[in-house]
Amino acid sequence: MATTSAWKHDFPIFSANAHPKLCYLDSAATCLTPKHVADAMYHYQCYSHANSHKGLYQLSANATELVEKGRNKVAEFLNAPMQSELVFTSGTTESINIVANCFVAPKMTRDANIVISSAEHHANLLPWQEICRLHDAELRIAPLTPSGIIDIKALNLLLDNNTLIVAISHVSNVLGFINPVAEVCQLAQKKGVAVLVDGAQAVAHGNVNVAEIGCDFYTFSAHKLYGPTGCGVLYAKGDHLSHMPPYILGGGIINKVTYQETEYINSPLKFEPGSHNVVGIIGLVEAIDYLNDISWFDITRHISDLSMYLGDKLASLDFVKPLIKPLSKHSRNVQSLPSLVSFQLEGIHAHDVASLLDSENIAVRAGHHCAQPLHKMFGVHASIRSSLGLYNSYQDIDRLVVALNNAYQLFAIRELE
Amino acid sequence: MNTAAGLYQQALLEHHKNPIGFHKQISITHSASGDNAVCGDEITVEVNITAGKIQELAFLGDSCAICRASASMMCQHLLHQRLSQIATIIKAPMDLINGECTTAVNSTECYSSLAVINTYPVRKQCALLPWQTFINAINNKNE
Repeated sequence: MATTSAWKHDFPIFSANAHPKLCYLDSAATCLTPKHVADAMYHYQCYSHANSHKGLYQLSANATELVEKGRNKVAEFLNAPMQSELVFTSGTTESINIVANCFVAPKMTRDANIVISSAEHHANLLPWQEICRLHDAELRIAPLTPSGIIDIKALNLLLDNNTLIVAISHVSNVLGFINPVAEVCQLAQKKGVAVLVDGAQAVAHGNVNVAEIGCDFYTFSAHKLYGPTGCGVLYAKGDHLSHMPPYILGGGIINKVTYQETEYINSPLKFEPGSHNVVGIIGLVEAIDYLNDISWFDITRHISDLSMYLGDKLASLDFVKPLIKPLSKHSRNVQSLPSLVSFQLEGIHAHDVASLLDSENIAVRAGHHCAQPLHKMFGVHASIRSSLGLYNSYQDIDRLVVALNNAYQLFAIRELE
Repeated sequence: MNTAAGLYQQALLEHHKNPIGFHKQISITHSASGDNAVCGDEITVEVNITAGKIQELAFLGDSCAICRASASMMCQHLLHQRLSQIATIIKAPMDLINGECTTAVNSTECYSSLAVINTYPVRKQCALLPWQTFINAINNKNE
């Protein structure tokens, strides 16, 4: 059993002059950046930068080509069918807001309803909550099964002729389980309901196939895939985009403008006003290439092995209280092993645990992870989340376990004094 | 690197273990709730103000050790203080948490275990929350 990750040395943050002792267990918040990605971005910005899609000179044309090749690369990564379109956005949050405001909002009436699950990140809750509030419409919340995935039967009962969209996460950022999104799409399609899948936490698992899922929209952020922040993607099936008005208005999205009116272009560029985040797109493309070079088979095996080890180690600590009871060893499916675990430590607030872990150079997330209603549903205000990435190893999990023991002992021993 | 021992000093942990005013039943004249949206601390501060004085002070809620210890010190030191002097009195601990040494040393001695918090920027809000909620409470008379 290797105690270190074969890919850890690709990440300069662990170098001797940076943070060699860092134990990073917060990849669900953002993945660390491999040198390949940072180098590609640096190289573009230093030697090739220009404003894409606008200049008539070669440098600009080259930047345009990089963006459009990037679009093809992302389409390939998502297994997007030919009859679909991809928009570069600032991230998952903007992608979801585009769909809420440009696809759903124009169809809203007082009778309409929108269905989400109870495990959504605020990014996939607030936009829907707001357009329902503005139109006095209903936001329906599909419950979870005891094992922490969306309850398909209950979801089916919530769909009716007035449902405009189902918006669910592919993988919950708190629970980590993979939702049966293809089944959700099948159910929704039978009732003529569109589906948006928030893929922010799923893309790092690889093997995303939007054609097989059958969703109308799929969203993700580059930084959850070892790319940079500030760059994301909105996939839209068929000709959805052509029926949607632009979201943010500005340069580069028009066919013709007069002082009185504007004719918008009919392509993904309609949703990419202003100057493109070319360097961000370069970073995303390089991240996809980097991961493809490693091979998704090896990535999945590495993360699955660690997930199983993490689950077993945490289960051995009786003072660790997971939000969802983990699956028994017999009922585990390697494909559905969560690469993150959210839990509480008996008698210690999550903030204190995170501070104590930080003092041992271990980075975890503590709080509600932008899923406050879900935490309230579990009767807690905050939890600790430990999430895995390529650079992690068994050694990191062992360090976490020791530090959790230390944290518990520090508070527990003092309780006895 | 900051150490756990540095943040969780004995005096602070004592307040966390045996918090003063936690879930204390009082005759409430003023109250307010506050939360730390980033991490989920929630606290309610309850006050009895009679004849221009803080006669009773209590707090409840789900919060971290830093927030709870800070609230406990607040309940200990604000009791029986005159409302007219409160603004001056609470400036000392709040300055200490913020790392702003504008107050006389003798007025901050009783809060010395809070001083370390200003070296942990992400935890400042945890320590400030009870005091901010107390300010809201005294401006928020219960009907």
